[in-house]
Amino acid sequence: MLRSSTNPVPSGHYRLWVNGIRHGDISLNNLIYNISPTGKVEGVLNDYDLASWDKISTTNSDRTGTVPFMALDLLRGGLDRQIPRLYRHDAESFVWVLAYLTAITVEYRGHSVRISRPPDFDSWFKDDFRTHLKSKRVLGNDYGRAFQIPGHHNQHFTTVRKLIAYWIEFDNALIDSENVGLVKLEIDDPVGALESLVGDVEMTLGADAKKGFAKVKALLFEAIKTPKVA
Amino acid sequence: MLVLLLALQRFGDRQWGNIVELASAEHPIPLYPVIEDGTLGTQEAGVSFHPEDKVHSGWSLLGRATTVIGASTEKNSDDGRVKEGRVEAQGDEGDDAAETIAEEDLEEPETNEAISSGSDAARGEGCKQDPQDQARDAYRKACDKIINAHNLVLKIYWPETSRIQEWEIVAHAQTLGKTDRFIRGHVPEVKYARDFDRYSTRYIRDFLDLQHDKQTGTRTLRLVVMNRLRPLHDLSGGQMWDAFWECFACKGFFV
Repeated sequence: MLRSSTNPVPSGHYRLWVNGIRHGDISLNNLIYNISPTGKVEGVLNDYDLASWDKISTTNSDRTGTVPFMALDLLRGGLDRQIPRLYRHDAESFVWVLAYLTAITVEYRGHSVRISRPPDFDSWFKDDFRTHLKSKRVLGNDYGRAFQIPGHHNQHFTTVRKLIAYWIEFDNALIDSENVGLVKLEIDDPVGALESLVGDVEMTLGADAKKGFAKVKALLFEAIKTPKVA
Repeated sequence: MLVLLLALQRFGDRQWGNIVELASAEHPIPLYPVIEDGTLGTQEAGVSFHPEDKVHSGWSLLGRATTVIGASTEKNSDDGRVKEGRVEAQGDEGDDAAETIAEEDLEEPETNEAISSGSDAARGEGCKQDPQDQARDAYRKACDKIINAHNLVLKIYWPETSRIQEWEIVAHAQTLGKTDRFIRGHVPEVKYARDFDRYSTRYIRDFLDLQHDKQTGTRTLRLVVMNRLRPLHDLSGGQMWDAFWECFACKGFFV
């Protein structure tokens, strides 16, 4: 089995982000892999249609993001709300992809696959954002409880559930901070805004979150150091 | 009604959205190579495409309507003799309505791609293989043939012209990868590309006076050819977990 090294090695989306390339459309279809000449599996972030680059300013009316994996904050705002793309939106999308990816069952038939998902995810793919939002918010509790996680993901399911819970608490902190002005605050004073949000999450989730999510926190803080593009 | 009929009669191929370059898979499409600095070369290169080898489809009236199919340069084409392979995803019936508001993005993962490396469970010598791992290995072998024949993908879509071109941003990511080993290997390669501006929505928008805000809204037909990679859900648990974190942030972030 390929094992992870104990020291995290920064890569992919995060490294691109801190170098000024903002992907902005994290979805399952955009996460692919390659087999290197040495036979190693390498994760590849694909599809830069909606990406931006801080050196080139662009204007557009394309909403960014794939709806099923969209961050709670963006979903709640509706598709017409103009929200600048923040690192935390992409980071949260990654966790929704992970939740989905570890919950689906893949059946292999010849050179085709059939994917079935627990009904708990159905609303992610439908045109009712309210139900979609609700179904994501209960997943912090229901993941791995209301439906079974396929055996080969068993070893990770508590980590995934904690990550989901983290982003739900993050969203709660946003709501409690009267988020209307928060995006602006995050642009004017990114560190201060993020510190306040993360502080609220840690208060709700307790010491466990503080310890378990030190890495998430470190990523968020590092990623916002670079100036943002609207 | 009569006026409408008369109006429709005046429509040529282009007005109907019939893309002649894609009308026949027998003729390669002339595209331009993407140069290291993110610009396009001027020497046309022929890329063959294989519509029956569908990788992803997101047809819709709104948004980018991305479709991805297998492709090859002339030297390794097998005349497209590959049967269609695709994902049957559950719950499709409710998704169409949503798709119209959500660009191409209410996606069901689709693929017919494979991996040639063994699964976690298959690696222990002498272990009895799990039926799921056996099925996955058989699937990978079946798909390897397709990937060997069509080692590229052609992406056909309608991005907004005001956006930075995808090949430019990928070329920049590749350049970053040269000095940043944490990016190297984690971005795709765009090999050929071309915008077909004569299919731009600019003409109909001008005609209908929809160009109040000239900066946004206009879409063009863009063809991009990339190296063919494989979807994460083909992988077994441990490999998938690692590949996911490589895409996101850190390998070994959560073990």
